[in-house]
Amino acid sequence: MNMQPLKKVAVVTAAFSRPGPAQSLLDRFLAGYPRDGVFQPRLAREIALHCAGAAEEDVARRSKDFGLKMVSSMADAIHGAEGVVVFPPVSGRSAAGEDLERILDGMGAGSACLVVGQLSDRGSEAGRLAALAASRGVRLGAANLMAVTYRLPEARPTRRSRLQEALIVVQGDDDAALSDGVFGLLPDLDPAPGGDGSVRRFEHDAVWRAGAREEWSWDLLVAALSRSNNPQGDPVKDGRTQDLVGLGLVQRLAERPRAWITDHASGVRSTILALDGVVKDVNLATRDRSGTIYSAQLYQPPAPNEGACDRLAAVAEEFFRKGFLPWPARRTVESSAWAEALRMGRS
Amino acid sequence: MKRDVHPKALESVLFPFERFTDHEPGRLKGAAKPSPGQRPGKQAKEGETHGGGSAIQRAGWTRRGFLTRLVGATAGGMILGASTPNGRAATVRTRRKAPRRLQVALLATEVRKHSHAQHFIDRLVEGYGWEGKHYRPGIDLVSLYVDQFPTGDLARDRSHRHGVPIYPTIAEALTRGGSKLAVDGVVIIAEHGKYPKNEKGQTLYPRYKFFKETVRIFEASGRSVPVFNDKHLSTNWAECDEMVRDARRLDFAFLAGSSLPVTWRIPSVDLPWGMELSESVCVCYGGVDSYDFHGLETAQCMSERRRGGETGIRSVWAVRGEKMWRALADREETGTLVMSALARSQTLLPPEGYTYLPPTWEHMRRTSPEAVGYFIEHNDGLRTSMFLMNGLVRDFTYAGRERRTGAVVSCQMHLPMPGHISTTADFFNPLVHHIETTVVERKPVYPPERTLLTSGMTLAAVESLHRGQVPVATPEMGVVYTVAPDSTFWRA
Repeated sequence: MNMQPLKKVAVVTAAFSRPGPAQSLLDRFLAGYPRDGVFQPRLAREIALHCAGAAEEDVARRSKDFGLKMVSSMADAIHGAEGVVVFPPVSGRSAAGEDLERILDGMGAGSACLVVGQLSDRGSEAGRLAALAASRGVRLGAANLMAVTYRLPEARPTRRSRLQEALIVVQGDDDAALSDGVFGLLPDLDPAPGGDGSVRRFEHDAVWRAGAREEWSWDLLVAALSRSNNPQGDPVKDGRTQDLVGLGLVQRLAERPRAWITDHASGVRSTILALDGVVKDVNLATRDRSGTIYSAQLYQPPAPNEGACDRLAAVAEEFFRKGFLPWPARRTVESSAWAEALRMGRS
Repeated sequence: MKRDVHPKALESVLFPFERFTDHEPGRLKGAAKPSPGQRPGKQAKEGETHGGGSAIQRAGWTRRGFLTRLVGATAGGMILGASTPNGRAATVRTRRKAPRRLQVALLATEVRKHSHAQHFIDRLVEGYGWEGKHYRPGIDLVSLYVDQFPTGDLARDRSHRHGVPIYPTIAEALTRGGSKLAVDGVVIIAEHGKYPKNEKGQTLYPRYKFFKETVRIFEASGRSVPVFNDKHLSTNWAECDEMVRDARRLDFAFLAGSSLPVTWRIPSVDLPWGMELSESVCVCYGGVDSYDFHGLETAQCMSERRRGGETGIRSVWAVRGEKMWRALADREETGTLVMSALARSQTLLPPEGYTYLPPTWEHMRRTSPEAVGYFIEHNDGLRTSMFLMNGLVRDFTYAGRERRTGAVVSCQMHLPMPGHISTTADFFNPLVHHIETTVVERKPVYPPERTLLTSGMTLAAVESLHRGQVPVATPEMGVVYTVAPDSTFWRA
């Protein structure tokens, strides 16, 4: 798929560290990236970067080698761009609403803006931004790497009946855990998880008590953890495999476990389990009403390549060229609204 | 040659760990016992994070209880079965028709953290993630032979904790202290350990020795059982060939090779069975007489699916450094497949200051100046090219070209490597699963001729380098075989 380069693409980011998704994605825009086993050429004739905190050396190298344009004015950076990628100021959290509003205001009709993260901390604000984008003829999307990365196994079974329950194991502080949890789960919750639902949050031993009451599913946790390549504890010491659930190790290894349980309006129940200290990768499992369980690892290839950025670059390119994302448009707002509800631990 | 389980072994089959009958191996008396189905509130006590024990112990049976059940079962001629990888009953009929799980011996060079033997042993005794569950193998590891005990040895720990005795000789491990073969399968893991190198730089791992000792016991016992050999067969062709011929002569299932052909693939593709293939390329990393074998297995597990199947090879040319880069520059089609393979890599070393850039030939030469290439000619015209590009990549990628259309099939053979992106080397999971299937079904999941040929490729490449990077003719390597259309890599 060798196509003519776009006229202009811009990256707006608060951080430009290495490794880091902003730099990884920009490098792919500048020099090309592999897609379906073929190296794609540079994405656009002009590629602009707006970043207050970028190291001079990083920018200078890319300017010299690939003609990157570092633009101090955000308005100038996005002016005339057919596509803009926005990285939020706090990793895994939300785009700054004010900045995003200014970006959408400055973009031309027919262009596309991809936010790597949630649009906003608040669902209502996300909805407002989406409406603003629509009014200006700008296509707006939101996702993080969990939404696009490789799955092991790759194939998802055709559901014999409707989804009943889903569970994802993540790590990190609340913001990172919820961002990965929301974007990791949303593809499996479609069709619509339902906008209104109730959310409960548990911490420490209350997580296990909720599990004992079957508020979340141990069977799904078993399935999810069976996909992990990175169990902690004894495997770190001597490389052994272990039945983490069967041996009661999950409770012992978990550092400040947290659970967010959502009863979606559609009748689906989902659980985001933050289990730092148990595994160091992201794994999920779902069960449909026939009882069939599906599980997978959301594989995060290592730095410095951060290979999931190949998938993100492909999604961005399609979005910029053709105007569509490989998931329903409503997910753009839905991710913010759900994350807000999870943070608040309320309906 | 009979393949029944010898009845003399019954007592040791039932109670091989007499010294542990009062409590589980490695477990203090009176300590809580975690069970596979344990749920919150039944946590293992401090210092008891380990599962294990024999199958009998894991099932929570006492010796008396087990005997009672056994007598009851045999009286009625019942055959009970454990679940097998393919859902069939993993039982054998002894003369007394006693049901039991199949039992294997493992012969290892050394067992330490992240040695191959550690990975295999732990999966056999602890289980592993498989198809969305923590899978407990349907076969039992019942005896060990360990050749070396380095600093950091884990063999004794595993033996004690799981009640698997370490025998002082291979013969005793296979007979379990008796006079005749007393296991249903043999797993040979002769990778890692301190062994001398020969003048060609080959590490003289005792795979052939372990195998022949196993064969000697088979012959003395008048029966044979399935054997798995990890990695390439041996360090000279005659021995490799003899091993496969022994398997045929004694009529036992022989599975061998690397985990590369059976691990995850990204994307999850196989070479279409029966495709006309003009060239297979693998780009990988590692050493000669080491990871080169993995690279060759990566290519061969695809190539063998081509139309007409495998026909053997006629020559191998191995080159290094500048000579390799010049040879590659002369082979335009190979070069395009190298780039197709690299388009599946997720570990490309970027130029300084970058996270990722598509590779250029100049960058590749600079980052991997001592790269090694093997150029292999098959008897039917297929070419296999394998490259160890140390410094450039740290993964295994494949690309193959369809002869007529030029269409390319490519993927990464995904190795979640410990110390890198993993703690447990789970690419061994499918290999251990295939070992179980081979033992239970007494039929190799894929033919040993694959590994015979890749062993030969490795040996000929070593020879080529040793002779000064000249092509080596391989008329003795006319290994002809075919594989079934079914894929055997990890995809569910």
